[in-house]
Amino acid sequence: MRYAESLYSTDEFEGSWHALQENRLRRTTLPEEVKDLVRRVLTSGSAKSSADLRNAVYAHVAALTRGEEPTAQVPADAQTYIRKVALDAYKVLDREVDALRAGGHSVDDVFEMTVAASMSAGATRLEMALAALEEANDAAAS
Amino acid sequence: MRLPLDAHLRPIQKLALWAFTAVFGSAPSPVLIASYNKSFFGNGWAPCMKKGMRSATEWSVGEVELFAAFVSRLNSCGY
Repeated sequence: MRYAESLYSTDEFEGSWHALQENRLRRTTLPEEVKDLVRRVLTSGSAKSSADLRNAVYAHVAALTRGEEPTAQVPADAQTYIRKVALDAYKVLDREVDALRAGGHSVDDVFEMTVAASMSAGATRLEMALAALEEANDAAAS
Repeated sequence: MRLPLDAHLRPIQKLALWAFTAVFGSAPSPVLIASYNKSFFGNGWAPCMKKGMRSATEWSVGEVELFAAFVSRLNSCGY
């Protein structure tokens, strides 16, 4: 199995988005600083939102970034916002953030969902770029 | 900046933010984001920034800053 395929395989998924992400982090060639930041965002005890929510947002955005249909469920009222952060961050409007807060999400919830979505979009793109470089190097060497 | 992150900073951070705003005219969003609940994000983000913006061996700091500004401009993102 090629690197990219093994990285994005969900064969080992056993009901925990965090376990799946941790398995990916062990295999990925992302810089250690980025891996540490991803782990911090997904597991930090100083976060106010639940780790399950942040892991679901991370997995949801990772799928969107790869052009796949997300299977991780995020809050329905935050789905459009999270998609925008992942794919068209510059289009986010003040009123969309206001609507989330009016819907009962705290400042911390919105901040942490946004960070999880942003980190996932960035790290996933970096993973894809590194995988492409590795495959190009392999092709050149063979 | 759409979330009132400055309202949730510690007093010392508010003071630093006030000084920054007095000197530069406005508070840069990256500084606010990195300062808000630092143990959740900012403390881990700083090493990534250092690695990405200051650890390149092929490019000078000025060239890396230029790349970052150019990409931010393409993303319609204030840098």
